[in-house]
Amino acid sequence: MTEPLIYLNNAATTWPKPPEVLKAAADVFSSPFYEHGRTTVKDAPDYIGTTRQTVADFFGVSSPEHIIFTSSATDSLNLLIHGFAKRYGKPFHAITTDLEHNSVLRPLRTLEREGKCSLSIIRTTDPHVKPEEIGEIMTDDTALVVIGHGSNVLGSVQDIEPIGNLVRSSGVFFLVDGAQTAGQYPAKPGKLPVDAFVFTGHKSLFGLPGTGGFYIRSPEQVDPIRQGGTGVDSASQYQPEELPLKFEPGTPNYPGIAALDAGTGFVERRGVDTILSHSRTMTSYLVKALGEIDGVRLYNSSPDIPVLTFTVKGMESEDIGFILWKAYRIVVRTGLHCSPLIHERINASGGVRISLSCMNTIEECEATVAAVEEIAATI
Amino acid sequence: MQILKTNKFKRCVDGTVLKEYSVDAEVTRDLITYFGEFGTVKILDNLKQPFFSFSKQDYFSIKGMVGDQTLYVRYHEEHLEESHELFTTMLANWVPGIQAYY
Repeated sequence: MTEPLIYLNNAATTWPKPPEVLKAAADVFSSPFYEHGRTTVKDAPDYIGTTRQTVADFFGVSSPEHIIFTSSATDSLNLLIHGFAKRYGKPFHAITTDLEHNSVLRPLRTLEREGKCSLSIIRTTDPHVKPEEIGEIMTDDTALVVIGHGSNVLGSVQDIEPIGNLVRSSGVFFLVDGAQTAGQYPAKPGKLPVDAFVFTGHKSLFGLPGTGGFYIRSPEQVDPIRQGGTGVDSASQYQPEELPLKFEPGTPNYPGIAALDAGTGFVERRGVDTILSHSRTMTSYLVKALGEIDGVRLYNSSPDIPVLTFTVKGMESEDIGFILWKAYRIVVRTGLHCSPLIHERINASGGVRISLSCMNTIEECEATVAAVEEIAATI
Repeated sequence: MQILKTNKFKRCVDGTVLKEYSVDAEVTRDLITYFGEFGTVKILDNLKQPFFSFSKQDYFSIKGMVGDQTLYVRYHEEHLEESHELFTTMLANWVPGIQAYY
């Protein structure tokens, strides 16, 4: 009999999805999409409007039209970073950190290469970014600060409030990448000092790949970088200025967005605090048990979200991941996790990442520790 | 031993090319010992399923599990053709249960 699969790659995408998520997507496919607002079927289901309200409520946003749907967190970050630069219209100074994912680093580096911004990357000394580290390098030209809320390598969560207060008090646009936190760490961006907060649908909100979005407080500071059909104001040959149309040209991902509604509802019912408490129980166990294995080095022994990266002395991380899958049917991720700079900082060429969701169990964590123990013992 | 199918092909940024092959017989300890004639072999026993790796420096490496019928080969791009030829020759000359001559 095949052993059950233990899935510990939830920082990439969560699995399994709750049954209601799968049903919501399937239900959309079982009838025409109708395209609420763009159709003659006046009583058509409004997947987009309903989900926008659900997500706005979840994020503590009082004006749902400030929630914009995109195809992913990466898509959102590109729209916001390039859209900000387009609106700003002249070269500026941007700040980010070495904890960031390539979805932040690459758009910023692209702007830098095009001469549209100069970029300062904070070399962190701790999993948590201190507001003064940002304050020290802000200049009169600083116009944009981009920070990841949760690290996909260290599992640390940044304290957004003091950073946001500092950054925004200087009139600097503060963009937060919430890809790793939305759905598993309490945060109400609508009530936080941020100008924009990015989320993805397919991680801890339990939706499907191909969905994401952002909350934008200050839409006038970002130009749309895509234009197209919106189903309204069609006589105009220019992109509407109103939200959400300004940033949402084209046919939406109806099944994906309906699934996001169901996923967000699932998280809401289970409760983010309950989810976090469960994940912290499992993470504490893993930190302690893995930390006791000879040769295991943890990148961060006090993660705030259930993301734990480690190496085993004398063994390639890629081989550990390979053995975990082939011999134990445990799915992890190895390598740089699209966040190259933090590995440089902690002097590692890549690690094995365990990332949990609220669907994981302590028994799965115990089986994983036993497997890593066996692997480490062979060295 | 024969290659039945190439399942994956990936060009990596570190200048290597990764290929995954299905083969017509299971990986055995004898096969791994035989591989050892061509390069450096490492076997990790005491796992639920033993793991092996093979390396011919600057040319190619292999990894897999004892009992599997899949081999994962990473070629260095600058020696891709000759490495592939050596790998397929190694496999072709291996007959399970019979010590190969090469």
